[in-house]
Amino acid sequence: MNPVLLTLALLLFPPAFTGAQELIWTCPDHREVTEAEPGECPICKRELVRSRIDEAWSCPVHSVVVEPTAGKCPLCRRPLYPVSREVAYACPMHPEIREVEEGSCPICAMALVLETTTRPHQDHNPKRGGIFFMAPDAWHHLEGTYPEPGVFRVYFYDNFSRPMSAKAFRGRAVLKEIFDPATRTTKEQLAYPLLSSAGGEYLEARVGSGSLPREITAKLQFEREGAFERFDFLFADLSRAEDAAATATAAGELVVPETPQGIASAIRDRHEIVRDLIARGAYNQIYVSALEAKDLALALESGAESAELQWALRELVRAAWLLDDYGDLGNREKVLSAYERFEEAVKTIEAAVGGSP
Amino acid sequence: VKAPLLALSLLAAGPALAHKPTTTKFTYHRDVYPILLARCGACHRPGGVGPMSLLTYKETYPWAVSIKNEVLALRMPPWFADERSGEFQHRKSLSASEVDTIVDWCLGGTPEGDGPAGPPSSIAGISWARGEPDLVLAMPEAFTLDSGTSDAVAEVRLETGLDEDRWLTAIDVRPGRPSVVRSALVFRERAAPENVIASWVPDQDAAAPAADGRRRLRKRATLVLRVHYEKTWLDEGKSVSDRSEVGLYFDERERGREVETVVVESGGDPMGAGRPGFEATFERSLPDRVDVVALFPWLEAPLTSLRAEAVLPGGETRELIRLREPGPDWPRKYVLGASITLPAGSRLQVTLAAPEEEPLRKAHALLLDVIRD
Repeated sequence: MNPVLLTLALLLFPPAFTGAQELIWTCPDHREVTEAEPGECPICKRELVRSRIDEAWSCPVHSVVVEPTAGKCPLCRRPLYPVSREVAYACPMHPEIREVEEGSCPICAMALVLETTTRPHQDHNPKRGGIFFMAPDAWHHLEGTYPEPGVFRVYFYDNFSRPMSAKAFRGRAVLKEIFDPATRTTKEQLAYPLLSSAGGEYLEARVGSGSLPREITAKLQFEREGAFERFDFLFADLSRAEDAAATATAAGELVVPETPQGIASAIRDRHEIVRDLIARGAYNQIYVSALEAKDLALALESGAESAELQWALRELVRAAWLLDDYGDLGNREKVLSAYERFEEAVKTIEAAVGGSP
Repeated sequence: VKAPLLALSLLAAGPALAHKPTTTKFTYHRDVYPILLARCGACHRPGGVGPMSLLTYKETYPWAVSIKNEVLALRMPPWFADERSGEFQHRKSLSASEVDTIVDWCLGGTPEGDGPAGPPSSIAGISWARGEPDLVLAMPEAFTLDSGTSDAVAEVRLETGLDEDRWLTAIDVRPGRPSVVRSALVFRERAAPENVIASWVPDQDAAAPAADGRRRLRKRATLVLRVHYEKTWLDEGKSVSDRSEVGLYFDERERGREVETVVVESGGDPMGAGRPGFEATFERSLPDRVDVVALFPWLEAPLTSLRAEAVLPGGETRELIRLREPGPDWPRKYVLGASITLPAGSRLQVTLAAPEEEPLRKAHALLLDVIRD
């Protein structure tokens, strides 16, 4: 961006506060933890610290644009999406000093200055034993559950996994579609409305009886004038809330084998996991193995001489990042298109390097 | 309070939404900048044809999401040749680790690291890539895109005034106003595919088709320069003028090998199978034995793919190039890493596939720079 424009953007859009600041307790190491009461971090047991959260609107492309209300990006006219920012008063000399109120530094008595930080959101683990996805706006999150035969529910969360009322959203559960190659459009043949529960806890559709596994596509509208976004669910079993903690995913330490053949075999193993997760509809868990396969592929790059192998390594890196991206969104068509590239790359690597038996 | 607050918020607004419990180990200055300079800097520099410079941290990080999307979709840097179809000189596409470094940095909080705040001084002006040419032919007058025009094509005749035949080792183009010059073609006498003697895009090195190759230019020859202009949003609403120049480099050697152009055009009746309207194969046979040194796709509409093969007299097939989603933007000459020798009687076959939205209607061609044996 032109520096003049950047400065202009900052002058036009200084950080303004909405007045909706919320005092919360968070972990210094796990910023996704958002608790209403003091206590310890559920992940690392560290003592929680106070933090202020302010809601604002930002551009998906120009993160420098932060506005107090919804609207369009002044630089590219894209619609702004909601973000949460941490607001703190910090000492310019002592980075460890971060207070939630104005004042002076307890060490050097300098006046504290206001800082805002866009908070990461990291928690994509299901809360009710269902399947968890993120909307394309990267802010709304949702969990689909199949708690009893014939019942499909969608729960909504914000980008810190805080529950949201389902009353603001509309949608339908689609069970059967046909693709018309002549017009290249999809026609819905069987769909049920998703209706809000009385308390707005979830949207629910009665989808008729059918044997497991059940494939259900939710088409959901997040803004009144917005498009209906697609989320593809595949339920192998009934969702049980007590399974929620067990389905949490986390990446372990990656061990890179010493020989190219060993690496190729390790990539093949990750590929099998990715394939199985896709078959089970567990799109939001693909990223762990996909990104591990990517890191393994990068270990092969320095020794890659043939154009074919170099191409395959690049394709695998690209496909792994796309799987990570699309997996979060729960869009099967996009996941499958990225998987096609991933699979071709894996096979090319195997053919070029040869895996150990 | 306002000014320091503003400055601080600038620093704090940087990190994009980190998404997975990983943070990037890459920093802008140490890891990302060298890639951006080598692969993107010819266009994304101050005053360049890219709408934003990527050569300083401050100008780059607000575009992190966009950069990630463009890189993952293979739209940027623009390079249509499939890497599996052979080695090409001056390749612009990214390697596995380059893609990974950029994407990881874009998603992982865009940290700056230690380094200079300003752009490097070495990228100041646009100069002739091969040094001062032997003859410079400027457009007779400046071409102006008025405030309401965002793109245009200008075609001008340039008189060489040569009093004898000359051999050219290279032909280069230097834009007068780099921010609007998207591409250029140089023709001999008349603008037609068979007359192309040079093509230019901003990130291309001056074309030297082969070490000992050269093109003939007749005395008093006329050249036609066709320039494709397009404004970025930085120039939108402004009146902008350009006066580009063509630079000719003469070959003083006694002997050399003449580079000629062979055109495989979609003009005639398509042969072979394929879905009517969406796929077509065109062919042309070669009467003489030639070395193919470079390939230039002449495209008038976006395609989903282009594949060129040579069927040798014995029936064996040799792939020359494969392009994925090529289009009229970035008319780049692909110079082969090593020339390909084709015996007399070989047949050149070019297969095109069109996207669903836009069936094959326009004329397309593949131009081959060849040296006759």
